[in-house]
Parts: sequence; C-alpha cells; structure tokens
Amino acid sequence: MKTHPLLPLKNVRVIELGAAIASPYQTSMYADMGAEVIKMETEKRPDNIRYTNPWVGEKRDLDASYYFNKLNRNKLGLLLDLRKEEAKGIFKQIVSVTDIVVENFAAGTMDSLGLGYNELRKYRPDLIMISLSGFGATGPDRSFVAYGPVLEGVGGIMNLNGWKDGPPEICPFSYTDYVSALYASQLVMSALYRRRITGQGLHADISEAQVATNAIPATFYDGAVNGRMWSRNGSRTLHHAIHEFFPCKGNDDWIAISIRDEAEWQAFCKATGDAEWTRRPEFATEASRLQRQDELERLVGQWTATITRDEAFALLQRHGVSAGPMYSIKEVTEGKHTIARKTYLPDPHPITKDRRIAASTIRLAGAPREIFRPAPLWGQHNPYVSLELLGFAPAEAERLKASGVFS
Amino acid sequence: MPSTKQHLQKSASQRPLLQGVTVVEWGDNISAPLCGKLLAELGAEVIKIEPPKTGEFARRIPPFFHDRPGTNSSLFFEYFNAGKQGVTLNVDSENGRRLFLQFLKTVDILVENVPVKRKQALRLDYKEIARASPRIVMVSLSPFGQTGPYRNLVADDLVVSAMSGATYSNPRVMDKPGRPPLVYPGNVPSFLAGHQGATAAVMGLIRRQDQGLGAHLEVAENEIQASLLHASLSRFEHEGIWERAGGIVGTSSPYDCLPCKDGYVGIFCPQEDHWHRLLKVIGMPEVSEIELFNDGARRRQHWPDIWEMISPWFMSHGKEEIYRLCQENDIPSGAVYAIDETLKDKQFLFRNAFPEATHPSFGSVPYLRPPYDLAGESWQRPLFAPRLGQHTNTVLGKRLGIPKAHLNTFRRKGVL
Repeated sequence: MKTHPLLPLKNVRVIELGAAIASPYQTSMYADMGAEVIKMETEKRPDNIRYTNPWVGEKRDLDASYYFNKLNRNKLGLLLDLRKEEAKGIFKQIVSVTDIVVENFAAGTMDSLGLGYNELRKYRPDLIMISLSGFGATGPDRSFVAYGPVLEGVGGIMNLNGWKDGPPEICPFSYTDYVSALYASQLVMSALYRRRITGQGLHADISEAQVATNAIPATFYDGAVNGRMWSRNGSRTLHHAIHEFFPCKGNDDWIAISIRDEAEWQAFCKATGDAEWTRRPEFATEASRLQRQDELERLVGQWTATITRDEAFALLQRHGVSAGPMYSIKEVTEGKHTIARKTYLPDPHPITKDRRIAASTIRLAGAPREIFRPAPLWGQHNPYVSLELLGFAPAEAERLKASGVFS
Repeated sequence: MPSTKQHLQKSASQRPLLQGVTVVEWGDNISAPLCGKLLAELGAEVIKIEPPKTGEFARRIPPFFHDRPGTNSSLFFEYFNAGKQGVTLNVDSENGRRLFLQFLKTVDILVENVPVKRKQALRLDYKEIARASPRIVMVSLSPFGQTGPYRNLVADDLVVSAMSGATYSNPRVMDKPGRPPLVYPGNVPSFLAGHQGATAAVMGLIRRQDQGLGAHLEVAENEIQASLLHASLSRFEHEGIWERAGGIVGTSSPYDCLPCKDGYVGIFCPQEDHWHRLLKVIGMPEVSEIELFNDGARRRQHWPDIWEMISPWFMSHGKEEIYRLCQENDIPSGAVYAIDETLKDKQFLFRNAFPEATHPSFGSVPYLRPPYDLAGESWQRPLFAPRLGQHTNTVLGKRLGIPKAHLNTFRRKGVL
C-alpha cells in the first residue's frame, strides 16, 4: 500500500506479532515513517490493549478501544492462527516478501511454533527480526511472566519512584516498554542500513529487565563502583539543593524549580527580589544549601505560595531559571505550544474518530507527519494480504477463512 | 520489499551495523550525548565536540569515581559518552566555526542539542549547515522543539516532565490529597529524546541511501514524553477526566506494589485467573468464592478489606520468595530491588548484564552493557568515554589534514 514518496521507509514491509505496548509502539514508528506494517492477531489472542478501557459504547468491542487505536494507527490488520499448519505455510510466504519481523511473545514461543529465526531465514535470507521479552531469551528466569512494572521492579527503577516515607510507585506510563521499543527501533534501522550494503540480516534478543537498569545509569554506577545506594526521595536528586515542586497561590497549583549551579542560584535570588532569606550565610554555597535542604525548600515554598503558578513561571524564566508549571493532560493537549506545533492530530478511525492522537514525535522536515490510515478494524486487511500480496484466488481466501486459518 | 533472492548468507558477521558511518555530536548533558553513545554502540564512529578547557556540562555531574570530582572522573559522563572520540573546538570563535563547518563536510550525521537561539546566533542552524553540507543528516534534540512559543525556555528534565503532563499523574493513585507531583526517576524526557534521536538519525541515513537526500530530523523532549501518556490522555479524551492520579487505565486489581516482610513486591493481576492463582499460592483459595471480590473493579473498591485478609501472609514472607512463588504459578510479579540486589540477581548475571572491563584510569570496573544480544555478531563495541580533548589532534589532523603547526596555533588562540 502506498504512502508518501519522501518518507524513509516507504519500501519496507514489517510484520508485527505483538501485543500491549512495546512492539505496537515500536512498529508505529515504522508505520509513521511510511513502512507497511502488518499487525497479526488471532481470535484466540487479540492484542490485549483492544480490551483496555476506555472504549466507545456500552460494552467491550475489539474495534472501539481508543488506547489500541492510538498505538496502531497507520498499520494493517491480519488474522492468522499460527497454531494451524496451513497458517504457518502462509506466514512463511508473507515472510518471504517481508523485511522485518517484530515479536514479543514469551521467550521461545516462535521456536516452539517452528517459526524461529533460523527457520524463517530459509524463506527470507536477509530477514531482520527482533525478539523482545521481559528477561531475554536465555537465563533461568527467561520464561517469567513480565508486564512492564515487573521489570521496573527487578531492574531497580521502581525502588526510586516515590517519597521517602512511602512505598515504591508504579510508573504511570510503562517507561520500560517504551525504552525497549526504542532500543529495538535503533537496531532495526541500523540493520536495514547494513543490509543495503552487505545483504545480511539480523536477529536481536532484547531483555526489558536489562533495559530498565540501562535507564538509571547514575544509580547503577554509584552503587556498583562507589557502593552508594540510592533510594526514594520525592523529586529531589542527590546533588541539587533545589529540585522539587513548590505550591503556588491557587488550588493544587505547583511550580517545578531546578537549580543546577551557582549562576542559576544567583538568578533565582534576583527573581525573588533578593529576598532576605536567600542571602542568609547558611545558604551561601551549594554544599551548605544541600545541608539545609528542608529549611531551604520550606522557604522557597513560602515564597512561591505568595504568587500564582503562571506568575512564578514567567518571573523565573525571565531570570533564566529552569522552572515550569505542573500541567495536567488537559493543559498539555490544549496548550498554545502544543497547538502551535500540532503535537496531536485527530483520529480518523470510524469509531474513535476525532479524539486526539499524538502523531509521530520524529519530525522529518519536508515530509508529511500524518495519520494516513486509522488503526485496522478486526481482520480488516485479510483480503489485501491474501488476494493482493499473496495472489490467492477469492475462493481460496474464502476457504481459508471458513476453515479458521484466517481467524 | 521483494526478497533479494540471494544465496543463504551466514548471519555471523564481523561487520558492525553502522560501520563506516561518521557522526559528530555537538551538545551536552543527556539527549545528544546519549544519542551519540547509542550510535557508537551500533558501530558508528562518533566524534564528540566539547568546549576547550571546561569540557561539557556532564563532566561536572556526579557520581564521580570514588567520589573524587575531576574533568575525567564523572561516572555519569562515562555512561553517556562511552565509545566516542573527543575533540575540543571553540565554535564561538570565527576560526572555530569555520573549522566546524569544514569538518561537517566530511561526516554523515550531526546530532545536536544546542539551544535554538545559540545556533542562530552562531549561524550554525540547519540552513547554514546544509548550505555547506547538503547531504548531511542533522538530528536536533531539545526540551521543547525547534519551533513554537516554548522553544527558548530554560528547562531541565524536571521542568519538561512537569510541563508535558508526566508528573501530575505520578503516583498513579493519589491517596493523600495535596501531595506535590512526583517526577519519575532517570531523566526521562532527555533519555527518551536521545533514544528516539538515534532511531531518527538512522532513518535519515536510510533515506539518503535510497534517495540521495540530506535531512533535518527533530525530536522534542516534551513531545515524546507527552506522547507516552496514554492512560491519562485516554481518560481525558474519552471521559473528560483530568484530575490528579489519572495514571490508571483498566480495572485490574491488585496491580500494585505491596509491602512484605523485607520490602516490597509488585503483584499484577490483569486477568481473573491471576487473582485466583494468587489466592491458591497464599493458601486462601476460599476467598475465590467471595462474590464481592470477583472482578478487578470491585477488588479495587474493597481493597482495604482484602488487604486485611491477605496481609499476614505477605508480612511473613520475603519479597524474593513471593516473587518466585508467584512466577512459578504464572502470576505476574516482581520483587522491588534496590540496585545492589539487581546486581546480584541470577538472571542478570547469567546474561552478563554488568561485565567488568579495565578502564584506563579507573582500573577494573563493572559497566552497563547494551540490553540486547545479537545472534552470531562477533564485533566488539567500544567501551570508554574520551578524556577531554583526547582525540583533537588525531581527528582534526587526519580528517581535515591540518598540519601540526596550525593545530598548535589554534590551540594557543583558544580555538582548540
């Protein structure tokens, strides 16, 4: 299917055997950049995000999950039951005309289906394949059930999210899944680059647990080399005296302020109108400010509480201090900056239509940044794949549907 | 897309994925340096440009090796700059600027996170650079993007997190009204931008392979951070709800960190059978019969009662034991490890996640290797960050053919 001639991946075909976030997010980057992404599902195991609320209408509907439709824009949808022998043959036919296979089944699943990399390479010698799993394809815990928060816990991030006196908190946006997807996309793009020169493929095995630890390198090195253990401490860091949210005049209005060096501290003092407390000798150096952090934060909070959030924002920015308001999702999506940059585009999907979708965050100057087509309806592109891509006769396609291969 | 139908190739390769690709990295702190590091790990030759004398900002960020600050001893810097060559060049001087533009003619990719205003003041924005190097792939990373009313704001990760909606929904459950927002650990916005920047850079390279075109790509930290907030955006777009703690989508329960004998353990029951299996593991299968608790939404509502029943078991078992018991019974769960526990975990050790290497000045230290294994690929990745100005002579001398005497003059004048 045609996309735009200026997009980098216009001649690339991808099969996504994935669910939830990591693989669908990964392939959405390829689809946004012009690749033809065929998302494969089965009746027995639809992508579980199709079941994630909120959905349009009173009851669950595979096509009505807004969350699913955001993550899967610009893709095609195919139903193929890989547990059936005939489906495996069809899958290999599709693989023979496909550049990239992305999967995030439990480790070892593709091999046990007889569809591991070495088998698929017989049909596509230069295949690029990503296998992404919670703990990687090897090791004693490789078959553990791994949702994003499991890996945040084991990888050491979750332990850092929360307040000193409170429990560890789960990430509200599945961070590990997204960073894993970004590792995968770097590998896929780099493998495509090499393949055009040497004709070689690639098979990568990514461990999300190791991704989690790679996301906190300073914590890792301080622990592993210096023996210092980081723990939860709100939004503070170990080395900034001011790196927190402060309350402003108003209801639940907060300003984030971060002061990274002496020049920024001086700028902050000026912004307060050289308030008496900023000139106390005990706050004269970064080290002494860090020592009296509780007291300093209390005083900063007293000062911010006398002005509104937007006043604090304007005043501190004018003085060159890194400061900004806590925005809600409403303020983000409706804010002037977001509107000016067209961060969100309306969903063209027939059911979840007109709701906002964050379009590609990779912006390529001169090329379109669009939702070319909505997320696929359940089994929408079986006719395209069987009739056009594989050249089956209509009667044959009907038979495959009736016999449950296309389901 | 059609198969090249070549003979079956051995996948084993000595050739790094990005062999022969040269990248210049101009910037500081996390986003552009991380992008450069990732490209180096994929096999590109990455040359980092830093200001003479001080080096870039991250050289002053802790932790330092054995807590001894110094230009070449930040472990923070070490991670984000592993595998690069280091060149000092003062682009603020006219000679330095000219040298920089000349240098860019010899490379494939420029990755930068220099403030928009500064690039314009130096006449080193994409327009100027592309005039001299039309086929260059330039990747611009920044807190708020190259355009729009916020493009010139002063903002680190805390502020970008706050302004992109990532902190108002953390923690996901607002149990104490009036609590401040919370930033997620790990410098998320600039980390994400650095990662996506690496993907964008190679996308640009691929298009150049196909179409011969140069490219300007950009990733804004606030935008990628905001684009991941599916849970809170879903609730807002669909139900018009945007109150604090909008981070929960779905009605799974438990889907929480629970306290136990020696810490915390995450227990996640997205499906009903997970809940029933959990009750069996705890030894309370009879609770399965309580109708009041038989779906996720109801369990969330009645959680205090449920916790009262099951907490004695949790408080008498350790996180490691609970983690493994649950996993053996196919219940998604994970111990909440502090970093020293992650370092000792058998799965991480089996996969050699933290190999040791001999650093030229630190000696033998563990490092974080990339979280992937590539079947049959036997090429080596470069490991260490450059000392300040370590490769200035070799890179500029060799690549630009500048005689040693001229380099010395430039150095005297503060250009290098």
